[in-house]
Amino acid sequence: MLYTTTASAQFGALAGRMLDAESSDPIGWVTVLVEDTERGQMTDGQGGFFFAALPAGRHVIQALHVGYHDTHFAVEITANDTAHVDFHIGHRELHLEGVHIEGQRADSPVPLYKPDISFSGNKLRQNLSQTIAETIDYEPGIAQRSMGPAPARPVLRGLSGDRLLILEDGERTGDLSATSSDHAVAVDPMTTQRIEIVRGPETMVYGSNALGGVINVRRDYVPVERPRNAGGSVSWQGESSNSGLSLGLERIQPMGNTLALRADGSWRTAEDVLTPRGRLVNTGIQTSNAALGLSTVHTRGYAGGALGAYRSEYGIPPDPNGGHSNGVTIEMERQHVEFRAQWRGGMRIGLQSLDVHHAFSRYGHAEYEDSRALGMEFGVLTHNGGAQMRWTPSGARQRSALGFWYEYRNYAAAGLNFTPNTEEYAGAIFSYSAWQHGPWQAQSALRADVRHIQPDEVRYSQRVGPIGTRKFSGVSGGLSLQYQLQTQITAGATLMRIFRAPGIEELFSEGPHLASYAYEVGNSSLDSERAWGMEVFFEFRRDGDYMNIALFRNQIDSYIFPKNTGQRSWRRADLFLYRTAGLDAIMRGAEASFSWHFTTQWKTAGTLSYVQGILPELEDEAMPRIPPLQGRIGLIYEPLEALEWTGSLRWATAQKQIGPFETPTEGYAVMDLSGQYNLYWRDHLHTFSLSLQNATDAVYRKHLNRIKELFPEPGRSVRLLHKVFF
Amino acid sequence: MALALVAGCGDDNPADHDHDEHAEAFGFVLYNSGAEVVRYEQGVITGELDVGLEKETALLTVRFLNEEGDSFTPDTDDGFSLGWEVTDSAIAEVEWHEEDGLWAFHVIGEGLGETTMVIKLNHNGHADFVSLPFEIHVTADGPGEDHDHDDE
Repeated sequence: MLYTTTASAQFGALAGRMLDAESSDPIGWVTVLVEDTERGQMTDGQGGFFFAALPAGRHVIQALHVGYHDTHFAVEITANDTAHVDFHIGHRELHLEGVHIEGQRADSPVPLYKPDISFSGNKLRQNLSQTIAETIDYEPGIAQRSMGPAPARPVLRGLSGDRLLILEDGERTGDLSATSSDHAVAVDPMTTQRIEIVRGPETMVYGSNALGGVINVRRDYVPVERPRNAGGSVSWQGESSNSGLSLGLERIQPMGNTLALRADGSWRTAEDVLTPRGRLVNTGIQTSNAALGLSTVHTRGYAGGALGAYRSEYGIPPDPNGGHSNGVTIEMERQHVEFRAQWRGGMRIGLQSLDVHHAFSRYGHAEYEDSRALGMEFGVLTHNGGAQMRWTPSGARQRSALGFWYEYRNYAAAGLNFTPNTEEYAGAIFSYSAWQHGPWQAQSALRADVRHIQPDEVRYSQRVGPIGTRKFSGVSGGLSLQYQLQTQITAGATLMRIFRAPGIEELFSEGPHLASYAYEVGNSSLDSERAWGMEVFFEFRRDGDYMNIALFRNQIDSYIFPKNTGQRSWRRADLFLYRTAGLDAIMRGAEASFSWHFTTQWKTAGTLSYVQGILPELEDEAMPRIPPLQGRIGLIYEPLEALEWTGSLRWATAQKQIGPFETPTEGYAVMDLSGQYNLYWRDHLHTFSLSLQNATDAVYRKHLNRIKELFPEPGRSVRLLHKVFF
Repeated sequence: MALALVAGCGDDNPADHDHDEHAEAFGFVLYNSGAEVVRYEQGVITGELDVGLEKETALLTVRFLNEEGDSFTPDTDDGFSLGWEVTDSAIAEVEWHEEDGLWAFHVIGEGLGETTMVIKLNHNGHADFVSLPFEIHVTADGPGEDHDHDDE
């Protein structure tokens, strides 16, 4: 047996089983998370799991499984002892038993890094698409920037670029998706375990600039737990609108007495997308990726590493304004290696754990015109890492952490452009705390950043300005307060202060960028963005039903964005000139989401998002590329525990609040149908997700789609996903 | 193996290699037998081209302009070449002869009416420079020499 049932003076263990609330049958392949740590595992085929070396005290356990309600339990871990607990999870109802509590956040201690929105299990499979952006589209506050399906990237409350950080296992991906609409995110959702969206003070742990939030794609490259038995999954997905096929495989294996090995991979191919108005040429995609991770896991922690490789080739459709008549093909590749280790304390200074990590990423992509001539080429080498200390809870202070982060980037651009090769050095220290006292909860964070940008040449450009070293520094932070008005009602407010240094491209870019339909000119004199973000929110929860409402206002000084000048470039008169500008901006809006059961089998759920952006220095001119009022409403029928049918309507109003040289977009309503079924067969769990997207083959266009004038969104499409857990 | 991967890739930026020299073309001047007929400079097109139906212009010569407005001829040894695009080939077409040199051509009036043309400076398969379009007018009594289609 790997773990002993006794532990050091400050640690205990948890041995548990997940059981069906009605039949008491064990449930295999349940994802079990210890919310206040980053530890999680999947139960074996008999529902069993074991966590060694949990700090003594109260923990929140989350159980996620297809066909069952996501449930939270509070457990008490006693030092030098193993708690043996049976957890009952229900199809819909929640059960109280022993130390279990109802899954209401108001009664749960605030975990560190608790995501505001989480996609896993059922929800992830139902929405799994070609990109992360499409997978989470229509969640509260979330829209999708696209230019054809492949380079789609999320937009949160109208904020894009690196104001919405996309991380993989808490690390930056090292790609250039934040810098241009034709650059794809180097993450394939096929091998994703879950997607977490974090907003508020918690984002300070990851960066100073994520006013939009953080999307953390959990792939679990480096195993942090050693499973008792080998397990994994195999999946395939087909889609009719682009003749697409995707395959995925993952396996985790115990080795020896302490080792855990994890391997995964995926492959994806798709042809041009079919729309109700014809085929959208040059939108095919071919992607492959694989990763291997190995850890040694002990009572007091773990240490491990992982290697990964990602490769993708995708098309950008022709420029509707004539920049390139046949489109551009982009070839992208990324290799990365990372190291992680955690030591779980026992020292008298109250240190609960110490985490260290370092990652290296090598990223490159080349953009080819239809003649196979190289248009532009980018390369980025990134080293980043850091350390984080977490402190033992004490009194009202539930969670706290102190850490530092560092990054080195080597950026190069080649081809038809004049952007200088540049090195970038960055560092930060941060702290985060979560508090609870009676009906009050609070979270606070503080972060200080420095960034040094050094191009490899010093010169003057008539268009960009002086090119040379730039240094930036700033302090950011956040405070969030929540008050439990009643058992079921919580209200709160959040205040954020953000610092964002301009990026290399924003400062120094110069040249035609065919794939983004623009001649891009940077501005070497840009100041940092500094912003105040405010939000008030209200939440009602009762059993499995909930309703959330949030109102927000972001005031950004020197908001940096590429501004269409309306003029043609002198050198490339087939392209419009976009010059990076820094102007004050105000963004305000609202979000809402709800889920409500009519009966035990029928429920309705929906989301709504609205944001408005203005530029006060330009007489309240509308900001470009702001999504309209949009949402989704659905009706869900669950006749059996293992079966769920959903009919939903995605909608948006017309967007007529547009920036200069933008065109308005008509509103739309699109119907989707889906069904999910899971089946236990020969000790394996089979899950099936079948969906009919755009069931009526409606013609509709999204405002943030750069090619909306060329073609509408995809037409009717059947999508089938089959995933087997073993 | 992982450490070797890190060490080996540390200096290997996939885009960090010798940049091709790109032409600093920001405009052009089109000469017809030595007389300026079309100028594109600082984002402004002036002038137009006239040619008669089924006639060809005299030899037209292109000179590119740098950002300061100075004329230059790109080095063909570096992979530069002249490119063009006529919107409606039923109205006008470009005819190039090797003996006239890389930077000269004729325009043929194929049909009555108006069309537009852009001048490009190509480099190794892609366009370093693309101008704004200028107009070509083809009229029954327009100028030019009779065009012998047998020359094509």
